[in-house]
Amino acid sequence: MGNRIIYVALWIIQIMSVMSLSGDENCDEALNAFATVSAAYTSCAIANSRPITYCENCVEIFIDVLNSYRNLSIISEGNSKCIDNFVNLDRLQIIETIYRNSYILWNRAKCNECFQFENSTLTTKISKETSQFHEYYEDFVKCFKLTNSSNLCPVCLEKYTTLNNYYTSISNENEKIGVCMDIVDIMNTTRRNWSKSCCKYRKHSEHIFLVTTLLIFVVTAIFYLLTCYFGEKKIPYILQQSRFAESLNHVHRSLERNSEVT
Amino acid sequence: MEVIDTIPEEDISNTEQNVASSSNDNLNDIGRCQEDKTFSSSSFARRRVQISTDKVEIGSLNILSAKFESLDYDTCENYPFLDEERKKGYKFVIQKSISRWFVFLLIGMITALIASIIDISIEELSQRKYAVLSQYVDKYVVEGMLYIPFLLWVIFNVIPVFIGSCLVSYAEPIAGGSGIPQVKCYLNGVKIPRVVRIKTLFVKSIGVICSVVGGLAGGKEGPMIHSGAVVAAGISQGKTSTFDRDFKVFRYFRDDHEKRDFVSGGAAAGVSAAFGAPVGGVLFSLEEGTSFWNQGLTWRTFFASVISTFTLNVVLSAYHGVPGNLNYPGLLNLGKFESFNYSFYELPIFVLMGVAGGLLGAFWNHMNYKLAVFRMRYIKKCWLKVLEACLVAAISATIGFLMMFLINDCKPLGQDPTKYPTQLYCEDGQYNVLASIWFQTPEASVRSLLHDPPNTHNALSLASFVLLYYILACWTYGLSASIGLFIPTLLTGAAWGRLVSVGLTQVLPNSAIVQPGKYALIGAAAQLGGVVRMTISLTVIIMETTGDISFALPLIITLVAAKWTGDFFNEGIYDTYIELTGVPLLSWDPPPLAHNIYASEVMSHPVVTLKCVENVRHIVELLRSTSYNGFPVVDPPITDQKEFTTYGRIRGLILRDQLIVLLIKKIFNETPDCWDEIDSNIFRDHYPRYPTINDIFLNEKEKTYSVDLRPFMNPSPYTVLHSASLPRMFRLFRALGLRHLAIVNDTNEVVGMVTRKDLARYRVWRHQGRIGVEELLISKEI
Repeated sequence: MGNRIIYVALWIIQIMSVMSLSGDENCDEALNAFATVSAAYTSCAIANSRPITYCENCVEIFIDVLNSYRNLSIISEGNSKCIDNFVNLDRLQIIETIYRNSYILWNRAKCNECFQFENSTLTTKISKETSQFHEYYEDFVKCFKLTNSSNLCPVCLEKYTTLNNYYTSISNENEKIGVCMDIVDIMNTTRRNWSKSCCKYRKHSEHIFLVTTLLIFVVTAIFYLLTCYFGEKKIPYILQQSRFAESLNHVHRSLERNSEVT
Repeated sequence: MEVIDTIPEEDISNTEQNVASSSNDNLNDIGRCQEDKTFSSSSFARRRVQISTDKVEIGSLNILSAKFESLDYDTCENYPFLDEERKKGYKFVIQKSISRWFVFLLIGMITALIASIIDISIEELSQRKYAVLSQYVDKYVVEGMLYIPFLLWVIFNVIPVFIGSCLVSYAEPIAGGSGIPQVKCYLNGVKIPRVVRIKTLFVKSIGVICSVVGGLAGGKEGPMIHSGAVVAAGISQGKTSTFDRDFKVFRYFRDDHEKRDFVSGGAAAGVSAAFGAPVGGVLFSLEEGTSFWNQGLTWRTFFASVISTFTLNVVLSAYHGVPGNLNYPGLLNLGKFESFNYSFYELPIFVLMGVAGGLLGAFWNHMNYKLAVFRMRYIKKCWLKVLEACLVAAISATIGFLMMFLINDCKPLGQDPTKYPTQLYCEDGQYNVLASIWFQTPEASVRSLLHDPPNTHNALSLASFVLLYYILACWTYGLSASIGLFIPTLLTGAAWGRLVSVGLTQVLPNSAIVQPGKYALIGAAAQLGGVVRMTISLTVIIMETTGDISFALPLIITLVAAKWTGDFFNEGIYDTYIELTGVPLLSWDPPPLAHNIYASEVMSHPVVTLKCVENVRHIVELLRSTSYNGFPVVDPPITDQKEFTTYGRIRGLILRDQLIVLLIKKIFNETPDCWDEIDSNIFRDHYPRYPTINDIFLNEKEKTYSVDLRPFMNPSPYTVLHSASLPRMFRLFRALGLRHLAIVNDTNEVVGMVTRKDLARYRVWRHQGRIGVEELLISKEI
């Protein structure tokens, strides 16, 4: 009797869950859309992984991913939203995981810094800093390509310094906000190429510095030698302790002396 | 001085009676048994210091200083005390215990507040300093004028150190160093002059900020512990002698007993504020010698420590911009560790690292000891001390700059968090690794060595850093500046620990076990264990800073190996400093094989006694001519023969301080008016700094008066028979916190007096696996 009730209950639950999954075309559509853009996003990210142009080239698809995921949570079937059919039902959480991965990747690259925001939503418009940076970069690249390698450094130094200074001003490394990964990557490559050919200008002979350090060591050595030489030595005295045994000696001695006298 | 060893018990009792009876035969006996003793002395491994002359070299470890006095842990049950007990009743007991808890709460909070002031000032100031330096280096390196940032660094180092060192040298020398040896002595029951004064606290706090900002190789942890102790001693008394203010609160806590309990709580709160390790703080107090330890005190101490950590976290979370978030990882002193994996086959590596830490620590201690002796002998004038501190500060900057100048270890920017990336000779987009180590406080360097990802440092820069920082830390500790040695030692250890992990990656390239942070931690623990030789508290402190219980086993193994290896050669650095200052510290246990040393040999013999009713002039002269602090009060002997020593029967014990208060208040038999207003508070008002006898002026008439000592003396002082053995007396002293122990003969007459120095004279030495007992000398001038 008891068993039968349980079976019936289980059967009803199964029927209900099947019913809720099937037959809602809106949801299926949204789900398919999400699947398509996610796949496109992944392939875009991989395609732009080296050298990193990921932010610039994938921003549109990323916005699509955001939108399609939002659709999932807006479109509703009956009383429940589409997303409720997929979230927090099992431990795998496929949709949620894939969405979160895309989102985290975007944030880790700090791509938001490259683009403008309107009404706190991401747009495909490039931010002012980025376009300014690209301007300086193109100046530099033009110079880099036109001049031959022998007199590269003196000619392009000014352009490079402008670019480098601008980069440091926006990257703000101390505060750890940083700029978007595209720019970081461009700058890293540029710096590497530049340093390979032109970083000799940092080295100079530092005679005054070396002499100063030597001087400090010598002064310290002289200090210790002089203190050692001129320091007057104090030799502490031992305090005589009064002990029973000594008082015995004393008595003994004084008695002996008395006996000698008498 | 004649060398005498043990005197058998019967001989002593014989001799006493014999002296009294003055029989010639018996006197011969005495002479004979002394000869015997001279021959039989070699059977024990007891090293006697033979005094050829009456002088000794400064800096020897086997001299006790005569200037230290004991704290008095024993309650004096005199009439005013009994009177107070009777009047106040049980209500007073409850009030006292409630206010005791309140005081512990205050201790925890104020210690943490001071700690956070120190913390924040150091962080703000050094952040500015190193930001400017890093900027200047990169600005001037292009122009080939590196001497400008270098000189700037030297100036930035020397100026704060000059201020700090001047404060310490001229204002309060006791505030120098880490303060842990002094706190340890205080908890052991030795009254170190000026150690818990508010002036010391000021000098210590400002001094430590100056020294750390000045770039000396040191940390703020030791001074924080000392600050905690001062705070505890200050708050519990409800008055300050420095500013001459009496707040009229907590008067019932004004004795050595209560004060020492509070100081143990304060030291624990200090540790817990310094490391964020409340349990470690409690164990530190326990380990460092609070001999009179009970469950209630432990509980209150733990309360103070937890309050201290909590308060510190509240303040620091507000400072870091996350107010109220008390588990913000930035609040942890050594940073938040990811959990370590370790497997069975790594344990031998940990043991070896512990042994290495012990060896390095023992060598460090030896060098530092030699340096300390040199300083005691030759650098005595204040201006010389200040000059030395400034020179070492300049040298620190020089070594740092030379290292980053000569070793061009570059890493790409952005992989790991460096606060001030300095490029120097690196390519664009890279930073100089050594500059990133040097351009931050040592504490931050420890953190980065423990947490930076693998391959942040290459082997050459690590090795040179270990070597130079080891020397620098050794040179710095003992300077006349208030600075601790925990952090530089941890830093050296963490650096060579990381070096070990670099080596291991070469040997086992594919092993996932080799985590640099783990080996850095083990190295740091080994080095610290090798230098300070603390056991329980150090393990728990490091365990608490990692927050990982399962890592306790590697830590214990490492620390045990480090301690045993180090102890084979010499003692911990704190003990070495305590011995150098000649503090009569009582260790945990009496010396071994000492049951044949009797009270009659240990005691000081002619005892200065007072009669029950004593003449004022006599008391004044006695106090002027002697330096004793306790006087047995006796019945006068029945016969008063001049040529033979006679002894009086003991009635009680009166302290110098009590006599002085009696003289100040003029409580004489002839002036009965002032007897009405006598209670225990007349003694408490002057505590802890009593006037000396020279401050008291009595006219001639008053000097003819007499004082009845019986109501004020302790009527039942601890006494032992002259046949009591050294270990027996030692245990009494250690467990009861005694200051005076009267030695009586069979008829209860005072024949001698044993004080802390008489017992501390017998000290155990251990060296290279051998052990023995030596007898120390006492000098007034160290």
